[in-house]
Amino acid sequence: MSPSATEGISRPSAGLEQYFQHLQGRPTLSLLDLSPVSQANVSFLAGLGHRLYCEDFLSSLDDFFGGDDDFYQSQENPTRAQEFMDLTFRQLQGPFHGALVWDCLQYLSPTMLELTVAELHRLLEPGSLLLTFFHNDERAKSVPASYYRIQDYRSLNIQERGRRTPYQFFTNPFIERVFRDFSSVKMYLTRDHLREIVVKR
Amino acid sequence: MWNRRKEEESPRIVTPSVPVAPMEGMPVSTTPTGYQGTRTTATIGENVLISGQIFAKEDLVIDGQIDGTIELLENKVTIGKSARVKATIKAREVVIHGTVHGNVEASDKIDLRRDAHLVGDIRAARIAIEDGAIFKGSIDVTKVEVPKAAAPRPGTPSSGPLATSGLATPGGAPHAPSGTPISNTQTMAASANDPKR
Repeated sequence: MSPSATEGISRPSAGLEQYFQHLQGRPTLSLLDLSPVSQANVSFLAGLGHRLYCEDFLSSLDDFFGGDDDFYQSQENPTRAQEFMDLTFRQLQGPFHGALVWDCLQYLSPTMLELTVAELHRLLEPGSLLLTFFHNDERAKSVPASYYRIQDYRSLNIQERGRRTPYQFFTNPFIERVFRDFSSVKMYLTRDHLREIVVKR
Repeated sequence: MWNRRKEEESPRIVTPSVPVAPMEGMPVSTTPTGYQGTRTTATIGENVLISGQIFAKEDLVIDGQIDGTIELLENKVTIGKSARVKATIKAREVVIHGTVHGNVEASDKIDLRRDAHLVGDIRAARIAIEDGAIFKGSIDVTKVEVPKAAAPRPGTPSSGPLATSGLATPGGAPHAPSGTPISNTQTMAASANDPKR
């Protein structure tokens, strides 16, 4: 690891490795990346010949629902939640051959979580993989939200973009329930209290 | 003779395709830069609004508001920090500092700087992204084929014998001869004949 306040931390990622093993030898795929656009991810994925769709999901969430105390309460309003989903996902033409969701799902209320996972299920091609992260520290009141930059097939650079309070703690059985419509869920626990989840559509 | 020579030296000629009512004292929407020497860049100022199509055969800096299409197939367009562009952009190179809603295609490079806010699909041979840039859309890094010479378009300035260089707004922007200092402190109204309006 190479810790640095500005450059972030670089570490191996078993989830990422499995994700790219699945994509290996399949050029010109369409991938969905829900992190802020970054040179590292674009260069790496485009370098493999893939087409990328970028959407900074967390920033869109903040812009739409506000980053204040009402954040989760606003998300529970079904009309607002549906409006957000329409704005974010409806114009997307699937199917995508993979999705990099990173740590976004932790900051969704139950209503929004269900809608978002359903949209991802709709957009992904059967058999494709989704990579997502959940923090593993049950006692933490806030957790670091991060930028995730792909360094190579099996390592990530992680840079904090602020701390946030997740709606709830995600246990393994809960995560499995969230992805119940998908065909499989694999979990990798990392040293930095992250669970890397590889979900197969 | 003197007058003719002056006309020949004019590097930028704009021929509105739609008759425009004379606007006395109305500044033109572009500010030439470095017109004393070889001019390679035109500027659309901060308080200028253009609705329509822009074609150019010189580099262009946009600080104003554009609604329509921008085509500089062999040149570079820079979208300044204050610019608000709602347009499809096709150019050799596109540098974005400001806000763009629309698809962007570059035969060479697209450069998203940290203040860029782009909603649309991008396609280019090379893409550079600075941290902080906001982008929503698809990214296709692929070689974009550009026609060698753009075919003349009937009714557009490029079809005219003298329209070898410069930018045009078929929406009806009046123009000043080369070398005329142009103020950009007023807003240019869009043509009433613009089908979008």
